[in-house]
Amino acid sequence: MSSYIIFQADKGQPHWKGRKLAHTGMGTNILAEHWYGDNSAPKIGDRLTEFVKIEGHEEPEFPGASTHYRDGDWEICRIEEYTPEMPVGNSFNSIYICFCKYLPIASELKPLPPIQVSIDSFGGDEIAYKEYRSSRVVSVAK
Amino acid sequence: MCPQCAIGKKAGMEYKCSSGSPNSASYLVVDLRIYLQKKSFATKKFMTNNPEAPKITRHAATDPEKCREMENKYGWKLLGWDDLNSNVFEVECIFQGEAKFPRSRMDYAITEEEETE
Repeated sequence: MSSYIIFQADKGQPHWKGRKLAHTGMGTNILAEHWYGDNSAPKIGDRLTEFVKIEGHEEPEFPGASTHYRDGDWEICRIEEYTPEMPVGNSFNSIYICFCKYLPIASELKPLPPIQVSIDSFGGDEIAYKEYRSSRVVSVAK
Repeated sequence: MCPQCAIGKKAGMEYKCSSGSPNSASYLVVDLRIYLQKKSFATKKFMTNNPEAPKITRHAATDPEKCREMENKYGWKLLGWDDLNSNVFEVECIFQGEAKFPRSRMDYAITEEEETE
């Protein structure tokens, strides 16, 4: 089981006008969701990571993917933790609500490492993975 | 060397069983229990604290559920996913830290093929 972390804009933070859930069109305080499979907890002072795409740096196989990342402008200022009353039959061990303040920083833009592919990319489907690898060898040979 | 010592060494334990110990049977039970706990923990822990390691790792996936499966299976920190729109993969899963896969049997097989080409 995992920890589920929801990042929300704290009271009085700016940029609320453009912050909407795309599928409903409704305004939201949610900034991001994370899932920690190691059950670790978020910390006050942690910042959300931002991802950008810079033209000319695309991976040939995945031209639509982000190319760089940076420490973002939202910083955790307060955390609430919720744990289930019953220890079994739950989706998560803990749910954390991280309230964030907008504190812009001039952080370094760093290149993202290449996207990896493995059998887990196919949910453990060995045949699909093998077909993908075979097609890669053929396309590289061409 | 008694069997308890052999198991302890195989498990990579620091515990040493002196041969002929009257309590060796109970040591064995404790030893195996600790070994299984450590093994279970080890299979979940593929994150690294190496300061030189990448702070972000990305894995392609055929759908977002695979991202959650990887996060849960390997104990990684999933920051989210984004559209890839490639022919094979719908999304990239974005993980915090160096999220390394244990090498699978098929990885070894294909690497060997590629090396011989």
